[in-house]
Amino acid sequence: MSKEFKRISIDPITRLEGHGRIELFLDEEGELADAFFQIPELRGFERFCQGRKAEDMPQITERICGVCPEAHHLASTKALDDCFSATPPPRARKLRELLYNAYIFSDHLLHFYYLGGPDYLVGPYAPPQERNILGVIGKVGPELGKEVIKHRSYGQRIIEAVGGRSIHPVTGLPGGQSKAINEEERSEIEQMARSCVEFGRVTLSIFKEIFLGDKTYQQFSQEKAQRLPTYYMGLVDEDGAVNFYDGKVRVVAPDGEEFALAEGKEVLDLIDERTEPWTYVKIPYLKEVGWQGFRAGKDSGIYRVGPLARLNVCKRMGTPLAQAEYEAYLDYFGGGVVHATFAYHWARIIEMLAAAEQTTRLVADPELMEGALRSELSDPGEGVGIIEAARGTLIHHYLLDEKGLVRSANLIVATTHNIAGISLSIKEMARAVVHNGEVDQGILNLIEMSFRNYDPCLACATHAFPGQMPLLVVVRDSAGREIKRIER
Amino acid sequence: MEKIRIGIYWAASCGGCDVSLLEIDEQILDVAAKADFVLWPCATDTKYADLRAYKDGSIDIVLFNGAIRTEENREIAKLLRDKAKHLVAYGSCAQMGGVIGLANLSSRKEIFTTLFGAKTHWPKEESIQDGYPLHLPAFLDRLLPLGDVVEVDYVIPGCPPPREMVSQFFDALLGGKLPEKGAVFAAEKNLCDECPRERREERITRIVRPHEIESDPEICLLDQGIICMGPATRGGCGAACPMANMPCTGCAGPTANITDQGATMLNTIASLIGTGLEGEEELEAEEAILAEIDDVIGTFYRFSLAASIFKGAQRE
Amino acid sequence: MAKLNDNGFEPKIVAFLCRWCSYAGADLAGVSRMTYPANIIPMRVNCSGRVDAGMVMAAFEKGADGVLIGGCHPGDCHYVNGNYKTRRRVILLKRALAEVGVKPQRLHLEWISASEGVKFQRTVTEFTGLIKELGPSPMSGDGED
Ligand code: SF4
Ligand code: SF4
Ligand code: SF4
Ligand code: FES
Repeated sequence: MSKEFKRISIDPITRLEGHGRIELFLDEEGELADAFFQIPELRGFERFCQGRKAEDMPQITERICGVCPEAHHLASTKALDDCFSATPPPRARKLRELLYNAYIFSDHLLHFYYLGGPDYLVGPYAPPQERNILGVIGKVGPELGKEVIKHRSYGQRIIEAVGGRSIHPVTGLPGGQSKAINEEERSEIEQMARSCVEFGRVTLSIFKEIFLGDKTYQQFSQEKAQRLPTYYMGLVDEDGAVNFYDGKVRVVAPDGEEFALAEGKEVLDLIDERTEPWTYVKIPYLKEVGWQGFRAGKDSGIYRVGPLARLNVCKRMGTPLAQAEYEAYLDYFGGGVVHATFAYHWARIIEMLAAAEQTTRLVADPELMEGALRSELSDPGEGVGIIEAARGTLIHHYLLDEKGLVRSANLIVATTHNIAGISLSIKEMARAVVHNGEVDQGILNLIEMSFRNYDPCLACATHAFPGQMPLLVVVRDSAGREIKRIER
Repeated sequence: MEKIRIGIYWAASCGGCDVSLLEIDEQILDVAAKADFVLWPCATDTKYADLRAYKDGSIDIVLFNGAIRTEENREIAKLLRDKAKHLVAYGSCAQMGGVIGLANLSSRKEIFTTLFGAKTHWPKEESIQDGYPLHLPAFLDRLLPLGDVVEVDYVIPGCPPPREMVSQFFDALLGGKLPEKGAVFAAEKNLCDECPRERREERITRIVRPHEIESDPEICLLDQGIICMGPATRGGCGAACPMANMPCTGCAGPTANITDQGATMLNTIASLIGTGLEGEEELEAEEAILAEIDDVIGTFYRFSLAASIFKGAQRE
Repeated sequence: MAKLNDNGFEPKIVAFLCRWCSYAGADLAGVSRMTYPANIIPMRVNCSGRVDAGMVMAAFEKGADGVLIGGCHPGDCHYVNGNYKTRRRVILLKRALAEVGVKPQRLHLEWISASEGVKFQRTVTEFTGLIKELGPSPMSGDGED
């Protein structure tokens, strides 16, 4: 049965990665009755990964997303390490981490200046033709504009030096990397990385001046309706610091209490997911808490990932400049768990600085330049690779046959975890700003700003674990050779 | 001088093609000085309603990335064909289906079952949620390259197109020097022609996968038994993958004189395999080498299945 | 001889025949008035080595239900090893066909010399019988493998 309603569609939603659409339904009074965040795209990776060669997976799955291919490339490579029971040698690991931190820097920069940032850097109510990177350059001036372009490029050049290509890198192999970098490249990277740290600081000061000075930002980062007390998920290292490349998955409850600390396959057990007939994306939630519909709170299994979540699950940042910024951030929001969705922006550029600092550390590490690039592989089996993509926890889970071909692939992608949160944020914002049936482009943009907080990647989002992963037990001898394989 | 009106659109795409436009770094400022981006969902706020309101032929050039996977992709491709004076298939997905064309090895039903399970859980084109009607564009039975749906004027190949090619394209566009329709922005010759590795054209006596050996960085990968798509692939990327010690997977598509990239590669591999043995022994040895090639389609048609003679699996 | 399964289906079979051997073998069969199914569309090639993967695929695409390649016996190829090359191609092609859901038996390679009219007749008859049994190729339009 259809109801009486007025429909407003935002189609397509823009300045994000992938296809999305927002459908707003208003009642007779012109107030919001309901809102739907739909993802009208699907490509079916989980299906066509079946039958592919294991070592092709890092290059196939990165085509899920060209904004964060490095995350898929390395989550996949890590899953393969696990499938072949291999530990990459320190040099290979350092190379991967170097590439990875450069990627986090570059991807966060992209969001701040190109995708989500223009809403503040140019202004939320600015004409639509100006709310973009060109408008930003017009506003901040060509000098700074060129710095933005230059530093994005620096991040990309580091990725290219280590990964062979800047978009869709190729060097990840199970147990290691296909190539190293030479001294010339290393010293160039060192220069670029230093400059990136400086630029990270500049970006934070721009944030403080423009975002924190913006009335809309102030309002929505403080308003109660824009705070969602959800669970949070992210990787932390042994010291509890944010780590993008590796660590344990920590989940905290809305009150900050630790809900879970898991690694490898255990992480998969934390999550369940539901399908809805009106979107091509599946919606994950914490299995133990359960699905209670689209609402936040401790008794609802909705959790969020990404910069905001990582800064909520960590105890500290791993680098000094980022640590200082993290403390200032906590102060602003009054400490504890930060539920303000608009805090994503700030958390993101603190991470951008942290990633730049990490890059300078890694490029100075002597292990980067010597030693083996590859390690011994055992027979292929099952494996899980978990990494923090710019947008949140990314999980690749593969089952390989004896020939090293993929039997099934299970991908839980950053934005997918956030779908419930994004839907909620859109609804809350629409409820706050749509009245008497009146909307203009400024109001509609405010609604879009509520999802831009998350920097969603909807091309990524249409992946979720098929739930039919065959169960495999591989019994190995002490040398790691397979002696038995039980499947059901 | 009037500004050039550029549209950029993604259909079934990963977004890498959009990002590749930023890889030209500061040149994008030159582009912006002479052109307006009248559509670019990734980076600007133009909506479909704005697009529909544009006059036919009023966009000078549209760079279209991504393949045709849903009814919406097809609809927008047709709409853009009407609005655009020139339409460019940008990147391997638009040109030949790309990696995601491998989905054509499965039916829609198989894909949905793997992703969503039982049919009761499948997304629906029309549904009513709490009384509100919602629509999803249909997922087509088969993924199509852009050229199967509308006429394409130019191709910029690659997954994504390499920086130099994108840069050359914009030079040509801004300089008013676009080549004749049908042109492909890449090298005419194959990748081997620009690959610095020493090609000995030795007979292949074994097939190995990249993770199984540490290859010699100076010598042709095919010579070492690693399947490299170089011979069947257009140059233009500077042999990026072989330079990184990995085989070319063929993202730039076939060279000018060939139509089916995978078939050409298959011929090449078949020609190169040999053992020097004789008679029955030779036949057996060859058979053993060929048996080492896994996933023939996924290897030879990584990017081009949807545009190949096969197009995909031959069953529903 | 294989028993023909008379399901009324008349398959289209493209035969690429090397002029030095199999095509001559076919001629001999003709001259000797041997009868064989008329489903064969013979294509003369200079050497079986000229039959590349694309030609075979194109034959299927254009509606062939089966493709037969006839070449010189090992050691007899006029171009030294064209027939060996073809043999390797056929092995790979069969794998590719199987992966896209076309029965690999639809492609067949046979060594037939100029003097083997009988072998030609038998090969064609048996292959036609096999394809009749398999039914229309899925690539030709309405079949399903
Ligand atoms: S061609 Fe490659 S980079 Fe471009 S959209 Fe397709 S997968 Fe992404
Ligand atoms: S086959 Fe590959 S490695 Fe060999 S020359 Fe060609 S591109 Fe280079
Ligand atoms: S080497 Fe091949 S796969 Fe790699 S970028 Fe070049 S054309 Fe594409
Ligand atoms: S000449 Fe007959 S097969 Fe080569």
